[in-house]
Amino acid sequence: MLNPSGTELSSGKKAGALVEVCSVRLGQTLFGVPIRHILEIVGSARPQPVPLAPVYVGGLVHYRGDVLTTVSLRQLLDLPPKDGAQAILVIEGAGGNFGLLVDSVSEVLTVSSVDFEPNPSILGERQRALLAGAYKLKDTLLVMLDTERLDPLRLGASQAA
Amino acid sequence: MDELTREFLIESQEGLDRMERCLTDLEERPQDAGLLGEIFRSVHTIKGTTGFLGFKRLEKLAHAGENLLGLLRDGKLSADRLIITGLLKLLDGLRVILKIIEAEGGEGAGEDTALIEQLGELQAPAHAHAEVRRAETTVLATAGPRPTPVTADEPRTPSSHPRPALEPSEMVAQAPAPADADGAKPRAPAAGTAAESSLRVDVALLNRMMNLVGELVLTRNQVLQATAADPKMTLLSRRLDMVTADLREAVMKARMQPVSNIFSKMPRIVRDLSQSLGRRVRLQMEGQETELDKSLLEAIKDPLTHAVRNSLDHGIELPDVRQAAGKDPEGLLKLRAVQEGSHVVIEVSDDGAGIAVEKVRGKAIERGLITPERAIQLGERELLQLIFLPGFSTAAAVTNVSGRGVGMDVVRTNVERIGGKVEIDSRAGKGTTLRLRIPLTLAIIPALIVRSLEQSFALPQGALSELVHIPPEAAAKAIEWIENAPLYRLRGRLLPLVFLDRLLMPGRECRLSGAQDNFIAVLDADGRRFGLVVDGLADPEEIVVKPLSAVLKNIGLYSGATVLGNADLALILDPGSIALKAGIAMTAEEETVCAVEDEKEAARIEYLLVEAAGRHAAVPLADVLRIEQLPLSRIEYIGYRPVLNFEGQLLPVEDSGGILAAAAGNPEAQIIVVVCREGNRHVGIAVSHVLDVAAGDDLFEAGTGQASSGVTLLKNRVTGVVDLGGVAALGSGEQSHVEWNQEAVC
Repeated sequence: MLNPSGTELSSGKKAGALVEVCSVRLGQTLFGVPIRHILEIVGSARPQPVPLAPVYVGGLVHYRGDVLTTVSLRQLLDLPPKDGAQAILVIEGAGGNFGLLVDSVSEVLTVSSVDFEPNPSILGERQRALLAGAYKLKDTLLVMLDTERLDPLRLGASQAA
Repeated sequence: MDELTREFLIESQEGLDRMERCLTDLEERPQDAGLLGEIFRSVHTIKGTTGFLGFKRLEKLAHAGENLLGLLRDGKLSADRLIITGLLKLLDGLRVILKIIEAEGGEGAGEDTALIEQLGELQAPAHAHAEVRRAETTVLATAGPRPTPVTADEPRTPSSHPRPALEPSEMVAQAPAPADADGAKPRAPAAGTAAESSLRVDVALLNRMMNLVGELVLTRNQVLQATAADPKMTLLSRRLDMVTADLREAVMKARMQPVSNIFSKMPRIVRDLSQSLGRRVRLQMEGQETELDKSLLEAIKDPLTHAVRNSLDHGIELPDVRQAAGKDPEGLLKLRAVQEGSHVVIEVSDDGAGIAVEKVRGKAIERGLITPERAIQLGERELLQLIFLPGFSTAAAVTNVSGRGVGMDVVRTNVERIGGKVEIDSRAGKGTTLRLRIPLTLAIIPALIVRSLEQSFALPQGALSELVHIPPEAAAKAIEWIENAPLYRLRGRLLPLVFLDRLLMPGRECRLSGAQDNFIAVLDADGRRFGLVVDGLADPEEIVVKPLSAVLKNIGLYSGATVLGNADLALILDPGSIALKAGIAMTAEEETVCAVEDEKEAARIEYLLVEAAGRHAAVPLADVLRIEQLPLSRIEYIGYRPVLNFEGQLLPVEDSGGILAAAAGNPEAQIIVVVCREGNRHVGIAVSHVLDVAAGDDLFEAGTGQASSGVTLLKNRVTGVVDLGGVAALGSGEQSHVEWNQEAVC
């Protein structure tokens, strides 16, 4: 599969632990979610909005007999809402499964810990809370998301605080 | 905790539950070797396994109990009241340690020396005593109250003289009787077969199965829709339909548990309480095999315990008081469970003093729950309802049994939370009956789907009392205002309104649309009555309730979500929380008070005005359960009697208007059946139209001035009231004699 953004596995010459990461697109940025946290990827879903819910809640979707609460990544990163269907990563959280709404899902990448850099200090407080560093790919950055902190339970607690 | 310990805990709990049941039975039949064997086995199993797992404290205690039980089993000792009390203490002691193990993994540092010593003492002196007694009975064949053994540290109440234990001859004759009355089954053989044919399943797994079945139901609906046009698929999809329905039923059944699971706790509670209160009480239980969803069973455990405590503390009088009143000094407490359609009714009734309505009146005024003026106007029924108000308690003194002012309102709240209802019936001097009406399952509930903000929401039918339709042309004038509170005049009374769209999207205007139909759902949630304004109504549906994540539950308006037949998601609204959020007060009691303020008003009963074959007739609104529109093909016949299979129950349908006969030959014709409650049964009345709801006035016969029965003045017309009692019972064979009075214009 041709990769439109030109990202690819960084050269395997260097040593270091290899991690499989699912890359997702949101606006211009490429984000990564460690694959072991993902239960399933559901394409083109239209979540049902929940009136009076906290802003970061993207709505409800029906997933395998359960009703899943989704978290809108756009909303969390202060990006304007996007029309049309979005893709959902179903993630295993501490208080049950939840969905992460993203624009689209790209491929699964294998990255090496050698290319990892922690969050830069110039990041804002809010972003720093959601992001978990970045992997340097050949011509772009793969910004890692901290799935634990994306859990609606956790988001709810931090908003209340 | 490792698997072995967990298994041990579950098995021990079950063993102890069994032991508790046996112990209370043992009191009736102290010589029953089967019971003694069963109790011995429970303790012995615990002892054996604890040694293996290394719980020393538990082993020591179980060992002490086993010694005592060994003597009992071998007939060297006879189980009297003291020994049974000691064994119950042992049971509690074992339970405490098991609980500690469950919570902490270890058995805690506590010491049980006192209890172990007590168990030891019970072996020796009581043993000697039993010998003496046996000698006495054989020689004299009479038995008086025994002297209390010196070791007794139990407070002995007058009621605690062992009654049947003393005369062996009498005992033999009596032994089987209580067992039958209690509906108890022979335990030992049943336990053996149950273990082989049943299997322990994790509740989480059952929940998951229920979810998946719900999913399957949904998929089936879509398959049925998609394949409707294809004749080749019809047969297959019909089979899918059938199998899915059966599977759903089977999985629901797997979640059911007999009410005996909670009933079996009651003998112990009754025994302990009646001893500490000095009451003499016989407990009778019926319908223990009735089944209820596990989660519901858990939910009614506390309310039921509370009701039983109430009966013992406030209901059944002291033995001498009873004797003075000419009653059996031993009171009767009856627990009864029975399934009625899609509900299970659990009754707690006693033959005690009943509720003194005058006391209730006084207390309610004293507590400031109602004003004295209003209290005077209240009838007996309304007064009884007052005991469900928060902060009401008639116990003269606060006892540790009940009477802390958190009584019946908690019972009602708990039962209503799971969609149930509480009714109370009491006659002074005769006794009190508390009736809990519980839905069979929570997982699937009937709901009305409403539309607002272009979304679907589900309203549980349990809270819905009626629907009001406001056509676009009436929209401008339908709502009245006091300051900024919208109100609707419903049959002469002001009903506070809540606009669903505004509630969900603050800042919207409260206004009925002049361009389309508006609907008000009149809701009654925990005594809070209000109208919920919605944009539209869809069909009622049986919905499968799915839990929401904590974040969404915290919003407080939704009790869950569901997937509708058209695969849309809908949030389930929680009427109680909506009322709270909108600041609707507990007005139901106030309203009933208002309703009777005017004497004339009090006599007015509300009727459903129906039309059948051109004639008008009235059905008392209080008796109307549902109005069903259905195709004629749903009506079946037993002989000439039309019947309707309604929610799994057979309903005799009254057709004096000849509606069914007129529509015969056209099975697709839609007919309307008004489903009514008549005493304990339900009856249906076929009508051609439902016209209105109105309050009727009594009519007085000219000359005699007596109120004439069977007719009422409704909207200034003399209208016949349908005599529901006249609808012949099924299988009675008698001809029904309901008459439709010819209407007359006054």
